[in-house]
Amino acid sequence: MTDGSRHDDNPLIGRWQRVTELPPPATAEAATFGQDPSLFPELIEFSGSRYHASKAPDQNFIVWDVGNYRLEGDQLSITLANDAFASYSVEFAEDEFTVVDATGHRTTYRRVR
Amino acid sequence: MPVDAYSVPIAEAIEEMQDSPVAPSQPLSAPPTCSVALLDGCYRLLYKPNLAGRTFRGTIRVDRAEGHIVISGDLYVFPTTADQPNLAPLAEPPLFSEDATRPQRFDIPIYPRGRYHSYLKATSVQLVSPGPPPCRATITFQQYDYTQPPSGSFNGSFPPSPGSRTVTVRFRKRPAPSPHWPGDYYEGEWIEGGVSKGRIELGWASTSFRKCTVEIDTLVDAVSPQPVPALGAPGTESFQTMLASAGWQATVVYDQTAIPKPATVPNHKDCWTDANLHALMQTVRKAGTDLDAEWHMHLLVVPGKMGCSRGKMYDSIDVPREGVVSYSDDGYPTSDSSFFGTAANKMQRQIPRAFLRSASHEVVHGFNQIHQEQEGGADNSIMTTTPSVANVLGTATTGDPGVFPDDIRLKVNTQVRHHLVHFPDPVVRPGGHTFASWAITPVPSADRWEIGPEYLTLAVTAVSDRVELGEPVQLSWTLTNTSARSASVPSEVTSESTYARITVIDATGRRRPMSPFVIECERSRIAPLAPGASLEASTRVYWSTNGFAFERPGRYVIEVSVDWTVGGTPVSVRGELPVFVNYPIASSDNEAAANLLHPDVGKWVALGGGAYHLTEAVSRLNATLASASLGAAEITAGVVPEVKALRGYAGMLP
Repeated sequence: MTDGSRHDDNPLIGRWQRVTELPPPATAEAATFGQDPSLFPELIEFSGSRYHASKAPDQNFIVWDVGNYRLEGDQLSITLANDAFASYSVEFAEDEFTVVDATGHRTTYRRVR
Repeated sequence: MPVDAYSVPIAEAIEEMQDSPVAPSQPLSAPPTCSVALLDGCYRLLYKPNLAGRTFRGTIRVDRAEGHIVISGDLYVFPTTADQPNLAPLAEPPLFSEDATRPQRFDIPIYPRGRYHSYLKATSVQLVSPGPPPCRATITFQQYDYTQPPSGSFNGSFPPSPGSRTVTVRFRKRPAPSPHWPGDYYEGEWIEGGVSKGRIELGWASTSFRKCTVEIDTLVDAVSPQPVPALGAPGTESFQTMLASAGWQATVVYDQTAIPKPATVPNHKDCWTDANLHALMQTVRKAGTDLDAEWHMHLLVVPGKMGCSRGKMYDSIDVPREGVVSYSDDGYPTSDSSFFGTAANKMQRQIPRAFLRSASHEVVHGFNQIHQEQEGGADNSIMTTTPSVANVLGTATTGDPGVFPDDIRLKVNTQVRHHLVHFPDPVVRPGGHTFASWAITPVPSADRWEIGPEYLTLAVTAVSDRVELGEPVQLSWTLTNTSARSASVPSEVTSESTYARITVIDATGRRRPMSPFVIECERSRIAPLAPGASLEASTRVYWSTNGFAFERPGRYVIEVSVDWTVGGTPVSVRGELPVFVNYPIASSDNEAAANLLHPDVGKWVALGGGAYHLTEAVSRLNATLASASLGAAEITAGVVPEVKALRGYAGMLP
């Protein structure tokens, strides 16, 4: 479990903006919930064990909206809009992190200073 | 709006109007008027068209709690031969009737999902009419016909506003057909386009708008959330009162307790997988649960531990939204909020009010409601997440006055209430639409002007609309100016110009965009297209960076959309072509598909062939060619090879 008091150990702490363009959405039913990158948020802020996120102007719904998260190695577990945890591979580069969802799609966020 | 776009109609506030206003020429003395007291609540509705064959049954919900009147309804269709002669409930088959002499129940009806027909959204209502009793009332609805989902799917579709047609129901109060009828009873007519299409009966059934059952089963070492003292009022609050805040009548069944840990679950005091929860639900849920006869939500309570997120709407397996879970031993860590107060770092089972709130949150997720942080913002209501409620209560500048957990409101807010009362039945009922379906809308296109065939057409064709597995579809499209004037359109409509977008839609409705591998947008511009003139383009639809277009045999639709902007207005022309991918019937078909469904072969096709650096593609194509008994030149010349999938590679074989 990520400990909010140890920010130096947690590279996610802070505010991030999506830099990957949204792919076209899958139909609501076709996508496994939490694995449709078109529903990933525009902005996301991690703090302690919580995160909250916001939509882009042309998004109606995001699957990561508000909740808890855990970063264990290269695995990010994050609660979805139905309160269930979903896991993703995550890669860090300087000022960026990239989430790889179950479809293999890569979504990159850049730190907002 | 594209016909496949997902949209859910929902009723809104309307004005009450007087029927047939008095003409100014009439005497100044007030004429007699007559008012129908259409009470709030759920009404049973029966519509019998004049043309025999089908009968429609359903509900109408009349709701003034939001300060305006909102009226919505749902209709289900039945063959007339299987129906009752009037609004009385459908007869139970004698084999299943516990007591044939007992009075029929006239409360809120539940009808099978497969019989769902349409949603009714009221746009006007007249309850006052001139003249003496019996008074006449009129409601005008937009009727949204529902397209049922394919078998095994759950998200059917509604047409966009203003729906399929406008209907008016006009009715007067009449004696009820049964002494057991609980309220007012009306009869009247169903009018479309000014013509009476049939007879209706409307009977008040309940002050509640909808009804459900919540079954609670509790695992060993867990405790279930219980009723708690009401906030600032006598009595208690419970799942019933929480759902009553949404206008729902809930039957809550605390069923099994101390359910043994399933052998397949390694540690029941850990967070549970969805699969294990679903399996346990199926084992312990009341036998004979029928989502077509009951809106049944199953709540499992298991111990879990801190960090499980207090609960979840886990059940998307087989059928959407049958079950939710609450973890009694998860709780309120200070890492989640600094404002948990006396609940800080305690388990849910130790904080009854917060526990009931959290479990209620999951139950309402089960009725397809989403976090309020995504709608109107965090507040002190059920569909806001628990830490946000604590923050709202604990942050004097933004929040409601109070402290967590004592001042937790065990009610839904007005937004969620409106959804729960007025969304179409399939959206909220368990076993209906998938979670958040109504909120996950494809690219909004209401502001894009979709050009009709009176101006421009987009004809989509293929060399063959039946292909083998592993065979590219050789697709062509032609944009034609069918108007009498010059049209400003892209000078090139190729996929590579990015003006044309190709989407492959499989039989389940999943849309796979076939983005071009190569972008060439420098040459293209908006230019005039003369009346009658056309622009053509073609491509081979096979693979993109989103994967293969046709991963498996069966039905597909290829949609081509040409999108551009003229004078700041986005415009779009669309066309589509159904294709069928044959099932392999010989081992050679299978071998070819296995060889050809490789990303490097996909890239070879996307690059138009000749990409000899893709050695894997060259090897696979040569291997397939070797089994075809024909050379590349013969295939390009149109001779049908033994391995038919190679037809789609004509002109680009190594």
